[in-house]
Amino acid sequence: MNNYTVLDIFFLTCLLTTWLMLLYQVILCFAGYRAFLKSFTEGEINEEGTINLPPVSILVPAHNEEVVIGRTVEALMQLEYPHAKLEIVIINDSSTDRTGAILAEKQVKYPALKVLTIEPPVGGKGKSRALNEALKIVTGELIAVYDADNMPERMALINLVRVIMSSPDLGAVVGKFRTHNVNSNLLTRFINIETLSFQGLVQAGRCHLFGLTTIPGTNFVVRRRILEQLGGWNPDALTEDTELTIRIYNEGYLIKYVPESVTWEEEPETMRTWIKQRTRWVQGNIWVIGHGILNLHRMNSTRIIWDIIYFFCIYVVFFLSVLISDFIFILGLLGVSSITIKGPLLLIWFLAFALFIVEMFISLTFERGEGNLKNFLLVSIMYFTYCQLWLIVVFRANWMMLKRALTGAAFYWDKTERIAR
Amino acid sequence: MTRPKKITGLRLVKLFCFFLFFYLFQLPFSASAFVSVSGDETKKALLLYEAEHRFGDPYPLIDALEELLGHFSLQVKSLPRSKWKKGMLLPYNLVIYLGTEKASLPSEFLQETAEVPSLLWLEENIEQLAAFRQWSDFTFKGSHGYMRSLEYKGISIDLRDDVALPLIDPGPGAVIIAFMEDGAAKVPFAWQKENLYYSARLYVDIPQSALLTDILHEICSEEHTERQQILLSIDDINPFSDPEGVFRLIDTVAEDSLPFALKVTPAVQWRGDLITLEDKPELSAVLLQATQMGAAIIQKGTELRSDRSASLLEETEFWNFKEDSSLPLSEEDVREKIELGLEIFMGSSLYPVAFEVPGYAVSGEGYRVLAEYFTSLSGRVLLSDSSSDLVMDLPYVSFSPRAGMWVYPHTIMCNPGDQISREKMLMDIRRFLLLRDAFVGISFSSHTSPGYLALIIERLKPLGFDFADLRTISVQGNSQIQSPVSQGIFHNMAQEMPAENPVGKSFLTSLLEIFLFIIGMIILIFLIIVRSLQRNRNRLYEESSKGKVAGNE
Repeated sequence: MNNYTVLDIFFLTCLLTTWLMLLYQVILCFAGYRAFLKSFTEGEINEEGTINLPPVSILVPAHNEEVVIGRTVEALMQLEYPHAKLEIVIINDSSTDRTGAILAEKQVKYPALKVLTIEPPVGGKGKSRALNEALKIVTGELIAVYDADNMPERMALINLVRVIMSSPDLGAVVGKFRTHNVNSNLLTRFINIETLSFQGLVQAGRCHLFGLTTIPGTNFVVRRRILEQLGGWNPDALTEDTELTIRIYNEGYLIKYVPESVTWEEEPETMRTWIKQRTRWVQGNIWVIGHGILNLHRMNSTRIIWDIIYFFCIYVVFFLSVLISDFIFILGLLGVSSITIKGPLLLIWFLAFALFIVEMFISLTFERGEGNLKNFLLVSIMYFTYCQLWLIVVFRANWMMLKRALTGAAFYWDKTERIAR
Repeated sequence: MTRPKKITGLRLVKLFCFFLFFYLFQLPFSASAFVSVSGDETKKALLLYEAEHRFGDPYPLIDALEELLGHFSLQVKSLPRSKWKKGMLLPYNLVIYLGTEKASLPSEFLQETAEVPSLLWLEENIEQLAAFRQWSDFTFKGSHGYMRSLEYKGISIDLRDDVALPLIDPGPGAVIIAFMEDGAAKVPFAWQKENLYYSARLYVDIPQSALLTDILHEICSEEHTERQQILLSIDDINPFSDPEGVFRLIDTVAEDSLPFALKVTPAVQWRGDLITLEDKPELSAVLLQATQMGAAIIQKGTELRSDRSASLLEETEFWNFKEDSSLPLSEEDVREKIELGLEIFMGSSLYPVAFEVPGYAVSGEGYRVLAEYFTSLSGRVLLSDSSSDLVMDLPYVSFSPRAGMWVYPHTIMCNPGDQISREKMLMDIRRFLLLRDAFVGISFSSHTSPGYLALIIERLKPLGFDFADLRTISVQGNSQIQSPVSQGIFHNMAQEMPAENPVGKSFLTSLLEIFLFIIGMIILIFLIIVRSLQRNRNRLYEESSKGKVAGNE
């Protein structure tokens, strides 16, 4: 029998939880690979759906988006979809810049373009409220949502519609988003790798294995009937997309990931913007997870229960494990105290690093032009840089939430700044 | 607004190299946080002496010093100082000069000592060095006997002999390491100045050797464990031992989850018959169970002659104590003995990790044969082929040049006694805390009462020692085995042993290793996937887009 110290037990617990998460990622990686191969072998998207395409309303919330909105409208207008069945609604959500003027110009060019302008006190209160306002006036059977900085590929919408129409069990379908400004700087390159691996492994893998997909906030189509049944988007949620995902599954519907549908979006180019955006995401997700955990007993869908638990593990258990093991590592470095466990621990750490690199690289190799040496080197660096930034973000988000809980302050929508390349 | 600079491939490679360097640099720190740090590259030491023995004393000082140096990662070469040639000292990291007697030293030699990184000067002739280096504040006051004790790190260590020691005042420029005192005055005994460490006397016995070994640690910058170790052993186990009695002792140690060792003689000569462990399945089962409870097996010789118990004090397997000489055993005889013992152990699924020579007496040739079978020796090292008195009791684990094995010293036989002797024993043990890397072997007879054993363990635990686990030492390294029989034995042992270290790995370590293997396999599969994707991706996309075109047509 060995005598383990308190530090040893902490360390072993962290090691166990961290590796459980990593092993889940391994399973997702295999599943993502299978899904990738299957996308080539299971045949084309049902072409029959093209004949009876339903009316679709595209909603684009825009708050002070003068830099990007013109370009987005142009891209939407190029979508391959029968124009008679397409309703494009840009929600000018209390913009104080030239967004309104640009949209007016675009309406002259494209008379079919609809602009819904909402002013305070209704407007300016976040994406969910803006979408809910638009939902009241649109007519489409299906609702598609794009962010104001998006440039969907021509086939993006029709690919989503074909899939959702192929099964009545599907409540929503989700496309892929790519980074438009990938070559701007090191940060955008990292984000590009992150988004590709999230979608190639987490989205595709979960969808393939468990039929689970999270709505990412853009490039998705949802049935209007379901939205109305659910009462629209939840205005209290900062990450309304994740929250909507849970409710759709809870109603007994499925969401499918459709990688053939691609939109290009602009990612933050400065650290400040990135941290602000990701802090909002983390706060939103923690809110949704907390809400979900407290209401687990009311959930009807087993798969979404497991998904909530998974995200709880990512944001709470994994984060704490990394934090504690880092703390133990620093104690060891300072010579204050160190663990007494003997074993190939350094090798285990190295294998975690190697596993991270190969998993990420697999997801990059799914995309043409991404599985190259440059990205391989970036992934190697990313482990020690970009990934560590997430610790700061999660820490900051938790701190802000705690502060808000103590002071009783309300959430506010921290809009992402655009550059427009 | 200026557009951020694009990152070219070269800049990216530079960035990658920077991070790689940063993390490689960090690796040793990570290692130190989790595992013990390994030693640095091998340093070279030259040992120069005026005489191998002190006048009128046959104790082989040079051999003893070499045994002490075996603890450090040093390549040691020993030569009489008279054989010194110009430039000889320069390639060495450490030069040790043992001034066992007065001698006139050449000025070139003194000159050269200034050029070596570290110089350890022991005993006589230091005043010549001081004069050569023109240390004006150095005072040599002749020699003085009857020094009672050494004062080192706040602890007083008795000096046993009444020899005259040089009285030196090295001056204010020197750092005094230890003092000696005669009851009236305190005089520097060991000090350091420039590249020189000086000690007025070479003591190789415990505890006086503590000072020297500490100086050696200082000079060799040797990585050392933070804490000192104790090895608990239950001694004198043989086929006639009472299994229940042995089990009670084992159970007592295991109750505290402490690792320990069992010193076992696998056979006994009894009225013309050889009784072995295999004939005593109950005892064998107890020993086997012990290995699962934290015990390492030390083979203590092969056979005990219980039918001639009166002569036990006169003769052991390798030595005739009455004549004080090694038994006339051929190399083959020694091999046979060892192999017989190993076969008996193997028959009971026991795998000894070290050997202990009965009575600590065996010839140099005997050690050579033993080293073919074992990498570790328990106990003392006999420094002579002609006298069993000339033994070396090491204060720490050391690689013995004479035995050719790692030596795990035996220091204290813990016999039940009155409170005074028990307290004295504990005080002696406590003194090892003074020593870096100290290793104290404490043996209990197999007849010891469990209560006494538990009492001593309770007293030992708070002292601050680690309890050594011999199961963590390697039993491999038997590549020099010559005889077909011995090769066969080790072939079988290697096959039958659960792992490189029979029971040394904890459940956790084994689990981690299995885990490592699985992760390694996963990474391999992932690499194959990457390769396969790189080969087929474009084809898949092209076929897919052709299909789409055809579908649209």
